[in-house]
Amino acid sequence: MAGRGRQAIDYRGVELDGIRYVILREVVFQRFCEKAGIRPRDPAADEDGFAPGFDLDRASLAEKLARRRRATGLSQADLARRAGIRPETLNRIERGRSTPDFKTVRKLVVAMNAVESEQLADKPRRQTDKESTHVDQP
Amino acid sequence: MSINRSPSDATALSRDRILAEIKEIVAEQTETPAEEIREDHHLLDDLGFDSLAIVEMSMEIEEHFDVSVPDELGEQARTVRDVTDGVLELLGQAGRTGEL
Repeated sequence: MAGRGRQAIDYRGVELDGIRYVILREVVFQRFCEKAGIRPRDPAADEDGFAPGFDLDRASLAEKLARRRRATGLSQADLARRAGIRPETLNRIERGRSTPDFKTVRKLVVAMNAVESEQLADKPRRQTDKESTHVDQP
Repeated sequence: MSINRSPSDATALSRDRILAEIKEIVAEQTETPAEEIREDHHLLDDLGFDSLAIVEMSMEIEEHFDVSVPDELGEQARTVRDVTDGVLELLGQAGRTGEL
């Protein structure tokens, strides 16, 4: 977005049952909501499980999930595959574009926990191996 | 709803006991002293939960009470009371609370 000057915005007006509505590009609508501090909510859950009414701080959730995924070293595609969700779905969640429902968040957490457990199980074994080579040293 | 009946039915935990244990789980997650947590506290508005925290709490509950928390409960529970009643139901004790 450019500067502080007044910006022009394209919109389309329609009339339904005598009421005027404005049709905006979704990205513009979302930007408005962001600026106004309003959380847009889609009343219809879609096939990816983005359900309405699941109150949460979407941005904070997106950030937490992304941070945790990066800590596991998994790519979005890897995590999505392990969690059994579509990569595009995870991408939308991590960008704060969609609100995942409980089931989807749980799939992600379970998948990340599993990876963390694998990594933990791997680490001590290697450390123990190393340590054991030093055990006999005086 | 697929609810795993817990083998711990036999231990017949009282509702008070379940509530106390849930408060402990919530306390640990939110770093709020358990004695300050009330049954009518709203998970999101009063206790600062988000959906990730709700999922983590559900998994903690599953481990602690040896139950399987259905997605419906995770999605519909709004207060500490909802969680407690949900766990009671999962433990198959909902009808016994009056006797305790």
